[in-house]
Amino acid sequence: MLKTKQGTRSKDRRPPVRARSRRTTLTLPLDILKEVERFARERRQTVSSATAYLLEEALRTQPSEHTSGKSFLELLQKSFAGLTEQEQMLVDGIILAEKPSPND
Amino acid sequence: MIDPASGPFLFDTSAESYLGRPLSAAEAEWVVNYAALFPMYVAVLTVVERARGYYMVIGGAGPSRRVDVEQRMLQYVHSLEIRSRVLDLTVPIALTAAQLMTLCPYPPSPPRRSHEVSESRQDRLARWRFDVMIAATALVHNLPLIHNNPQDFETLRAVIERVPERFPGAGPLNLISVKRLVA
Repeated sequence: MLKTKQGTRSKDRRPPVRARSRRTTLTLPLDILKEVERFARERRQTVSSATAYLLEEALRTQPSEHTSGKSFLELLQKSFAGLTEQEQMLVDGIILAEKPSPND
Repeated sequence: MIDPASGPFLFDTSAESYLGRPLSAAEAEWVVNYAALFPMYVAVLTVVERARGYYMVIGGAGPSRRVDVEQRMLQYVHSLEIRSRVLDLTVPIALTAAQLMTLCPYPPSPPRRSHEVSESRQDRLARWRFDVMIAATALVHNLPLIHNNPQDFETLRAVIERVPERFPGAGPLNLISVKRLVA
């Protein structure tokens, strides 16, 4: 569950600059919350800052799925393109050598 | 075709090779849809097999060809970084692989041959051991193993099924052909 509270605007206040943060209420599993609090204490941060940091990190490492799937396939296919049949076998882990002649 | 949402899967070297070749539009779409949901799990042994192959090609190539193949290898490594998750060889995997190697010490199929070239017995044995370690990785991580090499992996699956007590807490080895998966 996520509840948010928008700030109120009045005529006598300066027009708000783009909000950099917003108060919100999150419902989190207790064990995760305890881990975040521990993490925040260790880093001498507030729980809010620590949560923001952790979420930012998680989002940064999450790929944009569709794009990354296409890029992955393109790169994989490029990595095999232009190899000869024997080179492809080597890259597949199959090492082929010329057969020894019967006289060897 | 199997629903991509039924993943995640571990792709063996031969399955990854299949996906790296030209695919039909439906097959390519399957890969993109799968990659949107799950990482492309591969065993670190696949990376070893693949990199060894590239290095062998590079070692035997002339200067301009060498640059081209080095570029291909970098593209492979980059593909791993984008959407793959490489599973390390851990102690449980090593123990499982050792058990499998004891039960199936020799490869079930002969060395590869063609008209002018052939695979030596030593290289065939080494390739078999790579396959065993990849299967052990799938078994320990409880991931279905996607392959394009039914003969070898079916042998391992049958052995695990025959003596499950040798693999406590693991198995069965779930095998899926890459062609059945994506086509």
